[in-house]
Amino acid sequence: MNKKMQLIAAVLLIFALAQAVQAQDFSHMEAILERIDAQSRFDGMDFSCVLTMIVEDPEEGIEKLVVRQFRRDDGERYLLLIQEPVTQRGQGYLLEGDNLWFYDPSSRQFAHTSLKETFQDSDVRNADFGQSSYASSYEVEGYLEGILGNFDVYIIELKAVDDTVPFPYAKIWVTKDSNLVLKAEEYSLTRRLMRSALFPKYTKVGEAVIPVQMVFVDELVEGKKTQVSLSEISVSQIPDHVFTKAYIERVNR
Amino acid sequence: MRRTILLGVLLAVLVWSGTSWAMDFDDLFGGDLLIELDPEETVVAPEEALLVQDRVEVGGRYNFSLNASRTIAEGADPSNDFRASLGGQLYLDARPDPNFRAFGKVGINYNVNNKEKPLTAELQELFADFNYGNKVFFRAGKQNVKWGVGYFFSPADIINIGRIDPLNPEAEREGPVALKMHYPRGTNNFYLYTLFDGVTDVQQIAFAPKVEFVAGKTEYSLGGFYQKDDHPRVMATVSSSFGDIGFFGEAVAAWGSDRGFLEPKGPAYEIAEKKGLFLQVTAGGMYRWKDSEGLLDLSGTLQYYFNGEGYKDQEGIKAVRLALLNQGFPPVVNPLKLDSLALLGSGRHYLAGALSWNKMFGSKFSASVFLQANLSDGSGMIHSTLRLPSVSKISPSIGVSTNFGSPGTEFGALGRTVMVFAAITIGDSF
Repeated sequence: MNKKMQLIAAVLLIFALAQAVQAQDFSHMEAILERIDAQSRFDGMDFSCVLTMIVEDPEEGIEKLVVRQFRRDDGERYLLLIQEPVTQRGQGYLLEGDNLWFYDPSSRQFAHTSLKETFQDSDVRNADFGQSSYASSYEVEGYLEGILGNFDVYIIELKAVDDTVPFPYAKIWVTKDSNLVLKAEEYSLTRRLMRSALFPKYTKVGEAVIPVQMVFVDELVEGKKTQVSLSEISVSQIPDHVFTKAYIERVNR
Repeated sequence: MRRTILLGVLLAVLVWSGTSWAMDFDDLFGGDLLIELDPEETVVAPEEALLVQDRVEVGGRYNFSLNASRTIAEGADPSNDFRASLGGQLYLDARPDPNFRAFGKVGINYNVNNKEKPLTAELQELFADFNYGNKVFFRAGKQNVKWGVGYFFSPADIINIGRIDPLNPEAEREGPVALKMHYPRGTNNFYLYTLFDGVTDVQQIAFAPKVEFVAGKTEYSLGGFYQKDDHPRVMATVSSSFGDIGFFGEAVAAWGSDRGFLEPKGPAYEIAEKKGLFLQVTAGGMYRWKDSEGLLDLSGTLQYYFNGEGYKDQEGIKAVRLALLNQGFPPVVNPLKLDSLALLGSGRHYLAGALSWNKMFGSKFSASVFLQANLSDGSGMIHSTLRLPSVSKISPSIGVSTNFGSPGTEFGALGRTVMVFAAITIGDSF
């Protein structure tokens, strides 16, 4: 009995040591984060699409948002223009580097806003529309290997190193073979789960690989979630004047 | 065909995931991860298509509201009031080609209490957009303009005709008849407004240039206003964020003022013009905070305003207000100039703040409280509203308003009043 206990203890010790050694070797994980960011970026090309969002709120019911997105990662720019519903039509978001403006067509006013803010009371954050910044905004705290659905994944625990991201802690499920993020859990400072995001479908656009179906779940309000799908994808060059305040004013009523 | 099938599959996955939410997330990752979606190359680029849209669009907004109130005033019997108001907007947006567009908007109001002329309509905007090589953009006509960055007070908004109503700071304001030239360059924007309101002589045309530029996470703007025989003004604004708090500030310097000022003259006052530099400065911040339980969703805005056209000594303007309210003779030696006095906005220091509690304890109720105070004469007003759950397009609310301040002060001139109200608003856009 004693020998059996000793054997179990030894196995547990070896397992724990192996985990510890594995947990300390983060360079591989950091390289994966860099690959995730690199393949989410449109280098040398522009990108546009239509985002259809279905926002489900147990209190407010179901709302559909249709948004036209223009994106240019060289210079960290994007423009989001709300097409539906009609009450919000014409509202726009213009990102230029670190600055994000929200345009309200009724007052014809641009106001500074934050990438961390939620988009139109959905579960999507303004930061979700741009390129990912896992490598620069987070450091690896640990990782595990696991399986999600049909995929072998790394489950990487992350801690924010700056205040540019909406959540200070995150955990991401990344496919081992293609380094695509399948799932992300985002946590508050007190490590409370705030939001889960699922990325079950991707497509290749040029050298980039982007999710075309996303589900964002509010973990604080039961039943609240936002589903996002992409269509009308284009990589045609977008004229410079599109990423200006003048363009937002021109397309508005 | 392949694209249609793939989109169909996507939609099916979306619907399926929507109907069985409590499922294991693993189920979403059972099939292929990568799907093929060929990039769409349309005849008309999407950025061009947005500029023509449906060529002609007609839309607007409809609003019908009922408001019942009871006012309890010091030294008077309580009074009841009931108002019904009906109004809306209609607009026409014509876009024959991507480089030209004409837009007109009319505001309509029907006053149910005015039997003689209940219907009023006013032109709110009428302008045309065109450009030079998609580099310089023009807007010609009557247009809403936003210059300042202040929320409750915006002294830097030196070219609009309408002024901010602190009780409804996000409402549309009447803009000028102007030719706007806009030259965006990178993150910088250069504007020149040529203003025509009240101009009967070409020499009276006013000019207002402005430049906006960004440094780090902060946006700055510098602008000015010049019109012959009017007081020239320069302005500067700044807006930024620090952590989750948004900050804004404005400063305006004017050479001279349109106002008349009370100057002591013996036992009375004389209304005189004043020359020299008048400075107005305002600064404020906005913050939104949500607790992790979703029970407290609070947002607050606070703004201070220094009004260089205000009085350091409030006694004179208080005496004039009291006399006018009591239908007596104001203690001024030149009463013909009374119209030039500013009975509102006479303080040097103002403070305004609003605190909103959205979805109280996760419910459909929301509450807000607004405070505006003239710190120079110690008067102010408080307005609180409880918004009840909406039913379809019907939004009910109840609230209390009150004021404070000694007799003759800006907000306390009429004495202490408390008003309770219940309102129903029915409205939507189309």
